[in-house]
Amino acid sequence: MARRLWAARASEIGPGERIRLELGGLELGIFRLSDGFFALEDKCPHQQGPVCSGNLFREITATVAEDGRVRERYARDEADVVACPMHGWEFEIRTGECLANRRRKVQRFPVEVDGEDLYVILPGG
Amino acid sequence: MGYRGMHVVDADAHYLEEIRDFAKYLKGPSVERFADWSGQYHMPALVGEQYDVMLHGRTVRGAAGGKGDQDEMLGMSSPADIPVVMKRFGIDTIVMIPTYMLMVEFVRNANHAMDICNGYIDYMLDGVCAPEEGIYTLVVAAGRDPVRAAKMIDRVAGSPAVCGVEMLGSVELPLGAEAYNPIYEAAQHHGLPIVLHANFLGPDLSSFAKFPSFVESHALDMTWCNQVQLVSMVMEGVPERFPDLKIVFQESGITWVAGLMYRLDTEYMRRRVEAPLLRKLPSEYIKDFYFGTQPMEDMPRKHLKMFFEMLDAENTFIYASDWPHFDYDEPSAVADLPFLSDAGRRKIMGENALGVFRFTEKTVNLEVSA
Repeated sequence: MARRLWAARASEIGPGERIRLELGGLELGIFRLSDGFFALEDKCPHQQGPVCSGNLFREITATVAEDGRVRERYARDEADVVACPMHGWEFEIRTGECLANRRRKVQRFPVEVDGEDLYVILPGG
Repeated sequence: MGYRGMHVVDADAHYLEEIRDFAKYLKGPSVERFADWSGQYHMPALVGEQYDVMLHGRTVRGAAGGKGDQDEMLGMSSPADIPVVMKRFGIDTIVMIPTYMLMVEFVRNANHAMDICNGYIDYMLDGVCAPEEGIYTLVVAAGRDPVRAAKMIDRVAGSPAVCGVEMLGSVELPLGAEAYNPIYEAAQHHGLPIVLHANFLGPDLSSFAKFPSFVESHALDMTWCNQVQLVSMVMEGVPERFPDLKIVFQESGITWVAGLMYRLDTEYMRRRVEAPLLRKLPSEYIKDFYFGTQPMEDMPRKHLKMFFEMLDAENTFIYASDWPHFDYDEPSAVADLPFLSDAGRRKIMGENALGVFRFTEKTVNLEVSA
């Protein structure tokens, strides 16, 4: 049975910022991006590092241009990728997926906004 | 012919040209460089020749029908030798690798290097290859001049005896560089694979390890240079840039690949930002490459089986003899491995190569093995 737990006031987290907290026995990070709030477990799937304390970056991608040259660019104009400070594994905050290997993920939890209040939906305890 | 009813392709057997015959095919100012030829070699001497690669008489090659002299030991030295060797080993299709051309990247003058490449392929096509008998060759592309190399590929790609493009592990700029795009474009356009043949570019040519014996130099350098090129081609995205290009690594054995595969995955997971063109793990690109089996490492069978599994051998390995070098492998060295399935055995011994190289003639034993 899922648990809906109050986590924070929305105003505590500014645009592009995150908070880290303990909730329901888990270490979490709640990030505020341009389209809402996203919660990740603060545990990297690699070596259990505090991924939610990492710096945020824009995703760098590359394509092959018509002239055969490789062109690098930002995938989106928003720093919505967090890099684990231990080894640099990069995760998409919205999905928890590792950019280098989408099969490797940080556990992601739904966030519900109710007025000024943020609730995180955790698995049953 | 064939071996145990299978169509056998030997993806790497060596040919050593008679230097005066080859010189007739040179054009332009390079002719003058050979007109007064008085030495033994037309390009820098084979690295490692300060050693006796044939072990001071401990290995002998005359049994294949050749003369058994030093030239025979470095490569089949006349076109008549080739069918003799094919018959002895049961080889249906053979790819003749020009031994001296392995050194072409050490020729520092780009014009000279390209003249040699052009002359050599003309020589091979005119007098050595016979696709109707299953005898093919690779057109060697010098990395010093990718534009001219691409024009050469375009010029000879129509020949039914050309089954691929060879590049050397000793190029100065690693092969992931965009500078080589003209060569890759030409190869991809003509449906020819790029074949990376190992040679001596490693610690023995560097400043930090001057080995006193061939056994040390050969053991390390021949894998080292292919490791350099594999890392460069994967991490700089050659498979993404040229998705239809097939890539073959030869003459480094197979065990080096597995360790590098997982080492690159580990690096990439941490430093993806430096290789943003990649769409999957380095190991997944590597399993899209092909690997010549020779020299198959001697090791306990249970461990060799694990390497075959890690590298998806039945879909990625290609039998190669490297005849007549001291470390050549008989077809039985691969075909008789007990852990192979019958289907996998057929693929490694011939069918994988038939799908990778551009062989133009009918392959006689496929009906037998089907």
